[in-house]
Amino acid sequence: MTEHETELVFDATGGTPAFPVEEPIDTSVGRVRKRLTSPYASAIALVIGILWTIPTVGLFIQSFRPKAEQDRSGWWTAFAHPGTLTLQYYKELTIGVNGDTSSSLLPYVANSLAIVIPAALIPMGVAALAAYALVWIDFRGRDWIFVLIFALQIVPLQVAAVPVLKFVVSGAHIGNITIVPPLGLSGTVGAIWLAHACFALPLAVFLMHNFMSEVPKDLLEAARIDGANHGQIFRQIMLPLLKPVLAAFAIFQFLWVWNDLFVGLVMSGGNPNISPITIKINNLIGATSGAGGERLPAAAFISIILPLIVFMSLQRYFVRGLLAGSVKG
Amino acid sequence: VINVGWLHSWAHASGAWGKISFAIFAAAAFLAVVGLLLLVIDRAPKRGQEKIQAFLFLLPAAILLIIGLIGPIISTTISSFTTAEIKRPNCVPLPNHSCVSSKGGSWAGFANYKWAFTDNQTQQALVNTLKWVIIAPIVATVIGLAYATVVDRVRAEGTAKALVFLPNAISFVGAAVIWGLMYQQPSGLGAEGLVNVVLGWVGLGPINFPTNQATTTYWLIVIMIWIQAGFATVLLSAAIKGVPAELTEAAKIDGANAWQSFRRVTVPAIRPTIIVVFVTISITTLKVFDLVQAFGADQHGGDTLANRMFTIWKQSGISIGSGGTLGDHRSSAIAMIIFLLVIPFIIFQVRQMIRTRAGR
Repeated sequence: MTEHETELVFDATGGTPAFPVEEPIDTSVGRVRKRLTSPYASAIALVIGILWTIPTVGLFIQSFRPKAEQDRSGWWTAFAHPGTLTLQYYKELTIGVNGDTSSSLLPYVANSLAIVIPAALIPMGVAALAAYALVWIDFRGRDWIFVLIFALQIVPLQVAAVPVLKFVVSGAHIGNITIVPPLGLSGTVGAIWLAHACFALPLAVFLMHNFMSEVPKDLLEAARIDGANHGQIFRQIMLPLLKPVLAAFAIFQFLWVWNDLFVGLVMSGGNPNISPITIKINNLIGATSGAGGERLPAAAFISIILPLIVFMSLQRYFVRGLLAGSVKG
Repeated sequence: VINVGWLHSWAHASGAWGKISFAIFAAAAFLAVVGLLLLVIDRAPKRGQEKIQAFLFLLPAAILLIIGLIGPIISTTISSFTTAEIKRPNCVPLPNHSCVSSKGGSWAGFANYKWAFTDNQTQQALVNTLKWVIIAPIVATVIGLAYATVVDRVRAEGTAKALVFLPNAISFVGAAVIWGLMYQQPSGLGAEGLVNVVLGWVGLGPINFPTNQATTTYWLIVIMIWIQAGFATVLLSAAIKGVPAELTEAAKIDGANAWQSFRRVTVPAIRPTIIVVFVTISITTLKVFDLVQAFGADQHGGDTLANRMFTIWKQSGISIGSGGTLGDHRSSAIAMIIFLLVIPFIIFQVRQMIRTRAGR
């Protein structure tokens, strides 16, 4: 059943292996074919690409325009008088102006960072351990356990989030019997880590299971014969091999957690001390009818700049992650 | 007893460095626990060693899955079928006088679902969610397929695809700001946005997009398509490159034109990927929350199930009592409806996979 499952997923991505150990996805059959040289196709492709980018570029330009300009005309007129562009709003939203840091977004950027580091690392480690046992230790029922974990991917966050919050606040109970007392995570970023770690696990196990299944059996059997234990094999042989899949998952999870609003809203309860940047931007949008709306473009740009950089510099890994498994909570 | 006061104050740190250093500390502590677990695994008793080792490898995942997914499915299902705690109105709780007239938690049949299907706002949210799921996945997939085909093997293909893919890195909240600017009305709060300018050229504008009751949902769907089309392009483009060149060459030799070759050779060959893309976007769309929340679209006839679920839950106040509030139970019912709507898509995908396998 395990191999069966894996093969299905390979089929699903049009015959591209989920995690080619070395080769990047571009090197499939199609590449061998000659490039089309039609200048029209190139032009159409670029025009659509540019059209798609205009909204984001517009926001970027708008973020440098003072309120008077924003009210007077659209961002595309900025090219006519570039002298009016200002860094004022970026200053207000980061280091502050004249010592007034009340509108700084940096605390929320810090919150997002504090959320995303463990929220990416924990499911990665836990999933690698689980996938190792499911692939390399022979025990009854392991295929069923893998299928169960895989199937849990379909559970919507709407079903899962509120009960996780209840667990964080009051522990687990059946009737009047307390099974697990509250763990003290309430009101801390720990609550958000826990939720993200749990929700990411099915995808993470699935990706690592696929990858580990492709590692040659001889490698591990040789280590076993040399007297190595499973713990040692995991640490010394499997972890170094896992690097590409760990990178793919880390980027995927980073973008997912950084951009998340729903889990943050439910688990933080709106506490600004642990709210990620998305919650702050969401609140700013709600408050733009009053003063301060002119800062919104700069604020939004501050919130998307880090994922944009990560995405543009590491796109290849991200695409691999997408191709390997694209069904997520 | 170990004094954990320092840990508590570190976990509740309010300064930026306090928070980030706590996150790094937690990450290091997690790695230490994993290291310890591996040491324990290596020292497992020889009798039944493999079984014990497998158990220990799986233990952390099992704990997280039970807390985060298996337990919640059970508790949300039960919650959607049970009654809420009822308190007497205007009652002041005293030590020997409880205000709770019914503890709740007893079987309610389909009462919470019945409420969901008769409550006006929730009905509207259901209808809107269906609009989302009918329009967004098909349009995004078709645009993605068309674009992946057009850019295939042209010069600057990588750049063109990257530009369309870029919105995938942007949060829905960020996208809401970007498109809020595009849709802007001419008003004291800012000059009109690009969309209204273009509509003005053809004599249709300006339209008050996000607050127009009849059309709110559609303008938000445009944003979803803007984001998802790039996802579709990347996956479908990879699939198109996987189609053997001999197939399309053979079609050409047989006299097929570009459209026929696309329709009869390429599309059938990448059908499994088309279905994966379509199903994935459908599931994302079914759960659309952030865009509706950011635009406050529920105030303008644009509510969706996921947003309605959150609103109902949030309004009721967070209750930890045994019975839970009415909002708790009703939001559970809405969550279960979303879950039920996801299932047909999964079945569709699994059936397609099985058929593809059988066809070989």
